[in-house]
Amino acid sequence: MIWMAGGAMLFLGAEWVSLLRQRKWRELFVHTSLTGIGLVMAALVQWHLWLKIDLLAPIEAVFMPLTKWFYGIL
Amino acid sequence: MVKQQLSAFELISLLIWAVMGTGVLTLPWAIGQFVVRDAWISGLLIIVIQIIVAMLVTWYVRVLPNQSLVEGLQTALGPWLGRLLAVWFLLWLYLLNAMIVREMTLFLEETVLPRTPIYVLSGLFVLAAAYAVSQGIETMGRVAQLLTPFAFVITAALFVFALPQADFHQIAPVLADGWLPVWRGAVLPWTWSVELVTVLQFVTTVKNAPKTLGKYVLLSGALMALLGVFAEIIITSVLGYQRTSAMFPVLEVVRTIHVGQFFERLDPLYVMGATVLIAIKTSVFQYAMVTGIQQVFKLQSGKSVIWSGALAVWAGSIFLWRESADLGNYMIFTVPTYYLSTMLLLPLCASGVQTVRRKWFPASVASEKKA
Repeated sequence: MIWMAGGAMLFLGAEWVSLLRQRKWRELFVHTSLTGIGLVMAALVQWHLWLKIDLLAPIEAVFMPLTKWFYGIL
Repeated sequence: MVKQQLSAFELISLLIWAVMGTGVLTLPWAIGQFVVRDAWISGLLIIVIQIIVAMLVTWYVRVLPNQSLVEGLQTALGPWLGRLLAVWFLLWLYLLNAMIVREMTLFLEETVLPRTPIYVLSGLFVLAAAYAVSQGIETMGRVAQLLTPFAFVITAALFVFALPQADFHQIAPVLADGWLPVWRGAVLPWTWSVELVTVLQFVTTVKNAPKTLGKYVLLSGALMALLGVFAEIIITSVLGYQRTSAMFPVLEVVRTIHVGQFFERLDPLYVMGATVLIAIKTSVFQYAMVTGIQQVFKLQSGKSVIWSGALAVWAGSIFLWRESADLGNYMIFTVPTYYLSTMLLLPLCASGVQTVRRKWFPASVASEKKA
């Protein structure tokens, strides 16, 4: 998976250079952030570190009890 | 730059597959976890939430005309609270996109490509969806418009061919277990239906939205309800209680088709069709995510975040749900209230606050328009 992410980085790198040349700082910031998120997640999956992290936990903590309560009242 | 605009048929086609793209895969399974004989009633009840969604979007476009949901939240609630809620909406869109991609890879892995690594499947899929987004919503609408008649005809034909295996006694007696399982079975169809509120993100592409958008949403909903009822009747009458253990009940129904000894094994045809329709769904929500990011961060163009957004969705689809059981639990026990609260409350807040502002503080609304 990390190789695929690396391949995507080559393509996205060209976009990044283009944004840098045009001095589009906001676009550059968002572009880099999204790319970084993708790369970090790919790396965590590749090196099997994903098992220790559950990013959905906060959402599940709020909405899972609500959903179970919702099923209960139906 | 020519303004992108959707015709009525294009919009309705996009809306139908925005819900039923994965609906045809997962809704029969989800409904089957709660109800079997009366599953068709759960499919019919989808129209309840569609009516609410149609009323909500109509109200929104009347008080916040020509503004997407992200823009409307900021107009109505101010730059800080509006942007915060817009980011909440973007997070919802991101998780939805990642979930759709994960469902797709699970489907392909279980059916036709069991040995292909999931990151390859999801990568190719996301690439196709991102390319569709880069071509614009009008192109996506035309593809959906082209495929919709084929999809309906082929679906009808597949179900007709499955009729010899159907035993309609399996859907009787009606409501023998009462209404409770039916209502529980309807929860996930309702959850999927509120995804239609995402149409507010590309409301500027709809001609005369205040008069037409509600009607188009309602018409899409009616067609979905019809498809849902038809599908559930066939699934239950062919599979009976076995449907509760089938991960993809529609696929199992298609597998039962045998006409003579030469017309069988139609499941690859179904898989191909489902893949295309899910690609349309993914591209709709990725488009909404890209335009949302552009509007929240005030970017000159959304094109710069299409491919980086696709990378983030691709990686997230695998990272966030390790196994199919994780995805299943998330869909049944987290998604309903998460989706209903996000997609009903956000436009409700924006519309409600803007209505109050227009009535009690018209000067501030007028000065905003001038600015």
